[in-house]
Amino acid sequence: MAPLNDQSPERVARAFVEAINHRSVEELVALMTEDHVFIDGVGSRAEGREKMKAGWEGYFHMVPDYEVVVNETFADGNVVLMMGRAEGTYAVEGKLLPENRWQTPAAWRALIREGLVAEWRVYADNEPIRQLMARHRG
Amino acid sequence: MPLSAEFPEFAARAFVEAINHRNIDELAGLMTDDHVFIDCLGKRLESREKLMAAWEEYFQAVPDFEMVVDETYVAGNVVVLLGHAHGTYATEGKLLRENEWKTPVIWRARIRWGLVAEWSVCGSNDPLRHLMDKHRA
Repeated sequence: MAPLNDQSPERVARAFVEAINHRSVEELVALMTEDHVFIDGVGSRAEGREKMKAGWEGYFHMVPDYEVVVNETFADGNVVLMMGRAEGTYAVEGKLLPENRWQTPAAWRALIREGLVAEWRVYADNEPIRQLMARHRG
Repeated sequence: MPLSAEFPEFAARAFVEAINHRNIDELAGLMTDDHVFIDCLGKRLESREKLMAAWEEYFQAVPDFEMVVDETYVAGNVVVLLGHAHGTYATEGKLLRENEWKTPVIWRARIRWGLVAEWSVCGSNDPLRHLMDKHRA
């Protein structure tokens, strides 16, 4: 996928959300700048497209039906803010069981540079999935 | 008509200031009667009276609670504020350095006639939760 130079920052951010919802690491990587930065809910940073490729692969392995649902979008220059919820099922021994389904309100802030996502920041309380993980780790 | 009725951002900013003053009366004066609070996990708490009690309890738990706003987005009557929250979890009325916490947060305010009709918070409560768990253990 080529950079979406002719697209608005909002379109680029939406394409990133679609790539997440396709659980397509290739699509995601193609939308990241080389120096892409990911910032999680507690402010921890992961830098570099390669690192984030591995990060998303690991996450999709853990939550194979992970989905981002966007209800509202705000944009200002190269920054796009999306609010909604994240949901999915925590996979236990490769199985997606209804009791391991979780959902949490979430927001995402995307910084767009030359048609690519330079920074992806998540605001969310991960307590629902953390509780499932703790339960299964016993 | 108060200026905040024409400019929703003013009402949201005033609400932030009231929180940072830890002033329940100021907060109550900025809430609609049917004010709704939605927490980070999507739980709703409704009515000004209930929220006054909840904020009072929260300010007892975190007496130096503060919101820092870095970015603001406005669309119609909705104001979204990005930044972080920080404070110290009080143990036996004391504010100890090891109980300080900070977390990135987004706040979303829906304004009606210059008052805050809905206030929702989106962000990780983990730092504070860990402290509370530690002291309960």
